[in-house]
Amino acid sequence: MITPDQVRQWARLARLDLPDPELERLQGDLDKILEFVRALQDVPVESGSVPDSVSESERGNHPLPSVERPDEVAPPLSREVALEEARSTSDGHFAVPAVVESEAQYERRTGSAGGDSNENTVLREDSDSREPGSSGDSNL
Amino acid sequence: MSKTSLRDLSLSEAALAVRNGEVTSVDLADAFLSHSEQVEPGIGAFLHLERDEVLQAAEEIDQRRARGEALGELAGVPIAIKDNIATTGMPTTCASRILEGHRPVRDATAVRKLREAGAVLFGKTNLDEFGMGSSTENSAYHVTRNPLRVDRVPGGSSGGSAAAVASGQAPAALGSDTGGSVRQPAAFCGLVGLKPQYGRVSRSGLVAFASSLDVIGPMGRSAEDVRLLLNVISGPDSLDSTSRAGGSSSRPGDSTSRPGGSPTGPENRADAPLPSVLGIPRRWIERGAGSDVVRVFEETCEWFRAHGVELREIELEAAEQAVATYYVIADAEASSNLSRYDGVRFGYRAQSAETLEELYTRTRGEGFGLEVKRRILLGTFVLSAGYYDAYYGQAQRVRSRIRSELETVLSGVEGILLPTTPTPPFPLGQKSDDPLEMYLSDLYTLPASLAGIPAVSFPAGQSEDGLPVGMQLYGRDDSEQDLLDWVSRFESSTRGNGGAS
Repeated sequence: MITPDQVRQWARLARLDLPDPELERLQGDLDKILEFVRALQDVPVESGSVPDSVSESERGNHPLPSVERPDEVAPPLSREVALEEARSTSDGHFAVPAVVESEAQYERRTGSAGGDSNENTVLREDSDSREPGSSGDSNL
Repeated sequence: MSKTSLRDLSLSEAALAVRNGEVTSVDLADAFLSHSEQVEPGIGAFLHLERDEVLQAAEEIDQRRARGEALGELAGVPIAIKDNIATTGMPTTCASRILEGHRPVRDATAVRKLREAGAVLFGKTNLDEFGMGSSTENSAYHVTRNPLRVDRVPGGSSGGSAAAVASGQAPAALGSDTGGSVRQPAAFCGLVGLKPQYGRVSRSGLVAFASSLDVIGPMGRSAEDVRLLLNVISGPDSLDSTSRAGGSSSRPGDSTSRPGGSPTGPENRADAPLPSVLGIPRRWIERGAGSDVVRVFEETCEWFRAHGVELREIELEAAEQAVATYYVIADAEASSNLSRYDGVRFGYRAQSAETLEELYTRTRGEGFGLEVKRRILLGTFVLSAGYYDAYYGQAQRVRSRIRSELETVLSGVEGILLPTTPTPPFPLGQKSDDPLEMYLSDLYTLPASLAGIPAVSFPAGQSEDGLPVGMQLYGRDDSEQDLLDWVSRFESSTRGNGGAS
């Protein structure tokens, strides 16, 4: 039986925000699906390394040969075209909010005081640091 | 020609009529557009279809003809495109909120080839979000109904493409098949649908779901229409290193214009040779399929036997593990492929995220539907440290067994005959709340996907209450042309009476 905490951990690994009702629903579904796929573990197979299904041509076990092409310089997408579909840009770049969160943001996210030594992703800022939300790009 | 008869032309007849000036591309497009205006509100096959856009593309073909330019083999023919295949000038959403309004900067290679052959792109069709589903009920925008019985699903994930063709709105369509997504909706809508050999059609511009399985496939009303589309869209492509030449490497002398099989001559393949031996996994079918499907299977066996084909009973043991194997491998690949949707470079972007991490999690949480989240979570789990070997590694090993088993069986028989689905089209809503139940209905299409071999679904009969039932043929590596030959023969002797009876 998988637990809500396990589903939360997978969601965190996958960078997926899951509201509680969805989490509850998915927990039940995933439990049933995992129970079903667990049967695979009883299938007798040759042990050994995991075959790479795309380039396994040496073993004659897959029809795809490796292919090579000449390494030639070709024009890339222009900066203009590459940025066309982005919702937020700045000076010819993709714009994103702060990569490192402020202490206040950390506290709001975790509901606890910052400074835990295990949380090495949190950088402490000076007390006169900008307000959360003002540190990102103005286009946001 | 009346509008109805225009819509009844085969792809090659329609293109020939346009090239010869018997009909204009605009008239042809208009015949389909007018019919679409009547039927589409009750079907919901399309996510995007603009009359002016279609007519303008058709007008360009007519102008090229007027200038005396040579026109391709699909001159002026409207082709509907599944909305996970990139098209410039039209949105490509994968039926997901996360790509709402997205306009690709490049055409998919298959789309470029269609345009070069003179085809008129006829809108973008509905699907299960990112191809994840078997009923088209997982679209973020709307459901699609089965044109043959509107309380039934059209199948999925290429349900919009199947419904567009089955309702007469387009003469043919492109779908994509990762685990059966061309074949199953073709079966549910009474069409021919081909999953080509993996690599036969470039994946460039096909939005990635599970890259070791994904392939673009044609859907149409006959084997010959499907063959023509295949011949146009297939071939090696420098933008996809897994794409390959059309069977010519293993069969010297093959023309590249007839990818995947024996050299063949005239278009009329009604006299093409049938295989001498087909394998039938009867025990698996009797155990897994419903009574209507088993009956149509037996009738189809009878037709082949009556035409001199020996049917040999075969056992497929590894293939029975295909459902579990597939859902581990496909979801693992999906969890990796879908990591690109993060709100930064394209697509939906969550508002009011204060940090980059929040931007990622909220964009994905708000942009993906429930089935996509389910698969990303499962895929993330089976790839995670401590579980990787027991789940993903084991699934890869079982996949190897499935491929070896099919290879061994297919060295003794020329093809395998089996149903496409265990049941006729099911009612809307029946399985949408039970994902595992939905997955289990893919049992007969998944083995060919995992093995990479070609497989075709074709209409073979009806259930007691008149619903379409499709049968499937698996073939050896690179045997698409043979499979289509066999279906052509079957069609020519059964057309008009709805099946093999």
